[in-house]
Amino acid sequence: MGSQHTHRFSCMTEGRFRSTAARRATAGLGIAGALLAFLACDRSVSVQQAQSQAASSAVADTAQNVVPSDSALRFPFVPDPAKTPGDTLEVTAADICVPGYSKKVRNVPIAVKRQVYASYGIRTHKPGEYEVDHLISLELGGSNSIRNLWPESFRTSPWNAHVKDALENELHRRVCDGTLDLAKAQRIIAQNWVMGYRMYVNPNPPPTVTTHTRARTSRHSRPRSQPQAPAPVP
Amino acid sequence: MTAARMHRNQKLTPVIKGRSIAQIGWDGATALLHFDDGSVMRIHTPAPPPKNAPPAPLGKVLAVRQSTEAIAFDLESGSSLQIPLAEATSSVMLRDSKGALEYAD
Repeated sequence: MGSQHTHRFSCMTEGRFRSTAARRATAGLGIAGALLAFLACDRSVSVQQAQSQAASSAVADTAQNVVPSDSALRFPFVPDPAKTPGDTLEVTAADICVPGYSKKVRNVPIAVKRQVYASYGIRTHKPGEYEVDHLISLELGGSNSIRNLWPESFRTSPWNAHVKDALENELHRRVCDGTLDLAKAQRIIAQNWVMGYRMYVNPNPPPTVTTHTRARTSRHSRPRSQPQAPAPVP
Repeated sequence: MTAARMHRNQKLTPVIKGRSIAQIGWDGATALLHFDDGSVMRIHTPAPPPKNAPPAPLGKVLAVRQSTEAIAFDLESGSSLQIPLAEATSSVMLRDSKGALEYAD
């Protein structure tokens, strides 16, 4: 929507590759190549604050996940930043912290969902494989723009749509209790939600759970066995 | 802007049905619809209107229809106000007279 509130993120995010050639190149380089791609990212404030053990382990863990097995390519757990850089509505923390806020936002039209699948080259899919999700969640002021939508996998493990929900809920809670700036929360989830999870929910990856055919039952459920991460140093 | 492809906006229609569009203004390519209850709708369009554009119809809203390209307000008078959208989603936002968010797409 309005350009002054639109956030653009140009980082090459791990887990997605711009082209087949890039995939093949990274396949040849393996984890080292993936790490180089990660380190080449232009990251700003929030990520600089992640110079911690959690962030380091997130890189290592994520690098293992980007080894381009067929399943990793078919079921990406982070979006392609070129297609889905993230986009926000012109809203404030006061808007999003009103109970029922997300119900005021229109559902994504089917035509737009089809456009999202097509842009990611997904021609067919089975129920429970994906959902068209907001990279920056509605609860954090994300918009319905195609720049904020991607086919999020339920199948990847440990990082998948269920896990991202936990981060969305935690960031929303922190924004609404005044301990986290909304714009920063939006940057965190748009730049690398896996790292965001490790910083704000749990430094350890969630337990591996097979979710092949299970659709999400509640957008507001959180893995209860996970101890909450301490607040990062501002 | 094809009326045939437009579908009733089931979320927005009940919100503004019965309100009257009192004035239409522009802020660059953003249309500002001022309703009689003080609420304001911002609609991002592809471009500002041409200077010689005919005056837009005003009046009480009966329903809202929308496609990926335009939004249409069906008025009690029988006329319809159609406004092109900058993109299929994320172009329309309504706030009440106090500034509280009522609707966004």
